[in-house]
Amino acid sequence: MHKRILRVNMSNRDAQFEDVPAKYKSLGGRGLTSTIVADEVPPDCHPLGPNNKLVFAPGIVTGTNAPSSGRLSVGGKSPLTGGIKESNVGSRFAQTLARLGIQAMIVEGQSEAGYQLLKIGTEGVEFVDGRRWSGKGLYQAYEELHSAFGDDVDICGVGLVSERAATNSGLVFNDPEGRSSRYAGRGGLGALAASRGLKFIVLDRTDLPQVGLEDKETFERGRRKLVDGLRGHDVTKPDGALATYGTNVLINILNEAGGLPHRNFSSGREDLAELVSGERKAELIKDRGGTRPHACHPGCLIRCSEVWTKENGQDPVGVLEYESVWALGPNCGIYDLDVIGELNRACNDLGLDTIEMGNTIAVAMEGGLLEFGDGEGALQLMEEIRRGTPQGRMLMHGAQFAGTAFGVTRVPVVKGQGMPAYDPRAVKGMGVTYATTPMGADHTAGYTVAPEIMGVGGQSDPLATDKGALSRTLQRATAVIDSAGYCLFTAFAVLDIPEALEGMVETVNGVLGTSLTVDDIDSLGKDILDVERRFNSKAGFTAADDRLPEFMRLEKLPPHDQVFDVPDDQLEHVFGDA
Amino acid sequence: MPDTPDVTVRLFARLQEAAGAREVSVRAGDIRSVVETLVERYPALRAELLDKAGNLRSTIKVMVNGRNTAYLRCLSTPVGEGDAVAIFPLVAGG
Repeated sequence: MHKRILRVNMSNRDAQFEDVPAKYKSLGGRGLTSTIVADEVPPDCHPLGPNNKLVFAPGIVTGTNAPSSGRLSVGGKSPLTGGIKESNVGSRFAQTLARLGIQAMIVEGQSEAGYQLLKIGTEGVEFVDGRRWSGKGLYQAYEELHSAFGDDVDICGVGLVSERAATNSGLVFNDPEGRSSRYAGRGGLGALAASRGLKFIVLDRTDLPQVGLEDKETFERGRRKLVDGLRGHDVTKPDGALATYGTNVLINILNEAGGLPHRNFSSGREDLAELVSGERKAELIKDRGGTRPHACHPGCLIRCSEVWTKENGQDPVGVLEYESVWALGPNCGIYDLDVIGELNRACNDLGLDTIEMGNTIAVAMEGGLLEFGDGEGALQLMEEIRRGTPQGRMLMHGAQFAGTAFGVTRVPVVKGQGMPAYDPRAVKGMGVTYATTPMGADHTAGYTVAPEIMGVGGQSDPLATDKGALSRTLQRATAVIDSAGYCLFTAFAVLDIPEALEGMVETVNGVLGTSLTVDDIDSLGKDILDVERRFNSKAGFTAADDRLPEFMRLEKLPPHDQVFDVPDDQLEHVFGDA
Repeated sequence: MPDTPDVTVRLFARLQEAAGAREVSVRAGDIRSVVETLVERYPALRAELLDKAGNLRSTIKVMVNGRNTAYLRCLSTPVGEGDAVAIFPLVAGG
């Protein structure tokens, strides 16, 4: 298969296929989006101005039959952080884009003809007037799009908050049943897309070839090793923890470890957490006739996803991820899965990132807009956002903006991005990752929780402060996994099973015809992070931006009464040569 | 064991299913005796908690008051009246 780069100019509604430059030949996913952004986007540009670009890239093995590899990276200069951004999503859309032979798609310019829908298939690219879907909820819009374009399509789009330039707005993708429930949510890339005039991308997936392999034998050998690893590991096996309980299985263990943030990061443990746990949610899904387990894309062996519904089985939301349940639940003092489900549904419908939205509501609660635990009030705030009232507009730009608006100093952000579901005072490696990743507070950038809490990939005391090397190693490995196109959850198996890690590398070699080894992972990851950090430096970021908010060094977190006490010099040496 | 305290033990994920209980009370002075009591009372827990040699599986996390006993005194970690013990199988997510 001849891979190409698709360049879409929204200003003149022109789409051209380009040969892949030699320097991009062996890149994919995050490595490719970040390199293109660094090469083509001026770091000092306004994220919503004419010079920013939105870059899509499936992973290197995405579109093959490698397991759990339907991942897509989306990059650009983040409207939320002002730095480089890679937001990652699992969806069949990624596999279809790869099977269309598109190694990367670059969306540039700004439409003067209103919102556009890009229809892409083997016949080429068609610009369709997208204004008829403007202002609609995404669940309805996706139903209408499937009516218009059929079921054999995959769809990416942005919601109405993106049309209002919300810095908390994500890009939505379809799950296998066509629901608008999979998100590249973080960093405000929905607003970047909308500012180009891009409303939807529809991929026609009929009669597509498989992604070509340079070395079929090596690929197949590696694939088998990886499949064996995933099927054999307690977390990723077919009846393992992720398939049985979903990602939300973490609620109880993080709560027990004192690291689950409650009420805007004011406590690390509350007895009520069990009401919103993975165990509880799995019971309810079974009782209601929802779906569990469920795969976010064909070929996933882990199947951590699900379809959550209301009590009567109506209004399927899609998956309620751990991060979403926490953000919209315990972090807001809400311990009712039905309320959380409706808040999640509202986020999906409007095009909001759930982590950022939960942090925003919690900060607004801290600021006195409503009481912690007021689920009905939180749902009303979502309606304010939908209607675009002045208050709603104050709440669609993330936690940092809300903190300023409501005079709150306990604002859990790094580089303007809200923290995920691990309090860094109780899981200190996560604090190092939050502080130092180029992405802003992002748990997926270097998931030290694995060894600190779960005992996967080794053991590390979560309250110990010497976490620089651990975070660095995991940040580099993650950058490579995000580039290869594997789900990050494959790491649970490959960190513990050397043959599975070897197999993962062999699948990459099979696609590219390279001879990489496991020993190359660290340097490949370093190269990607160096590109991203150079971009951020040129955008104005300094060491002072690689810090956690002050309150985390001052306020002790119950129950362990810990502050974040990793020394600054250790944060500064995460990306040193050590 | 008349002098050993009552300790509340909570079980999670598949351990709940194996025991058919979420929370149990055992009389024990350390984690070793907590585990021994549990596998005796709930035979289905034996295969979940112990390997073939009878040792606690490396994948099992035992916490006392929120601290992983791997960073305390492992099976010798003492427990007393009012201590909260939580036992988890291997779980992960994110």
